[in-house]
Amino acid sequence: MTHYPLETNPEYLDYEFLSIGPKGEIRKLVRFTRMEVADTSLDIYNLAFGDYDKVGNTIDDDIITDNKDPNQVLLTVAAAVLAFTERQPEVLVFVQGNTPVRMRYYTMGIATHLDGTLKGFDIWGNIDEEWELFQPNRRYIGLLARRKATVAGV
Amino acid sequence: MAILNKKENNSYSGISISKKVKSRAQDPFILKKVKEAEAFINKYGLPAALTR
Repeated sequence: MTHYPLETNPEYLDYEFLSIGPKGEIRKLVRFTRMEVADTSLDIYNLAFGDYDKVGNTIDDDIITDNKDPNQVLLTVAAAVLAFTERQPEVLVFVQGNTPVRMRYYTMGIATHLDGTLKGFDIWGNIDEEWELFQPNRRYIGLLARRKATVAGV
Repeated sequence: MAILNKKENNSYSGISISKKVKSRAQDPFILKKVKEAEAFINKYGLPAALTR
């Protein structure tokens, strides 16, 4: 399986792609935004992801598209993470699903690609208000990822 | 297998750069998500491995 073709802007902060399935072509957006976090000098970026809402010209992460391509969509989001962190390998990427179901979707996706696409990343999950190294089948409420220091590229 | 095959500084297999991709930096949805994310990290901190 390959990821969907991605477009990004010259800043490598915004990404767009089309999910293609029974519901037609669904425009998806990914955005990395630098966060202001107290007591750290680390650069942490929030990953926001959702469907393009043409009515509000915004992103909507409440929509459940069900376009029968969840793995390919997640692989494409992972490709955006790879492209973004290729440019800035020292940054942390934070992800928080808007619902437990969405968070489980992310967790399962990460578990699937842990030994492949995401092999070059350290990943932590927050569970019971504590961080731990990522383990499959855990009900995390937040995730952090950073390229391993030894990774020199993709 | 790597998803991205870097060809040059700004060109990747399956990823193209387009000025048509608008910045969502000021999108209210994004601003709300970032605020929530900042609150999360400020509340729970960072993994110990990152704070040593």
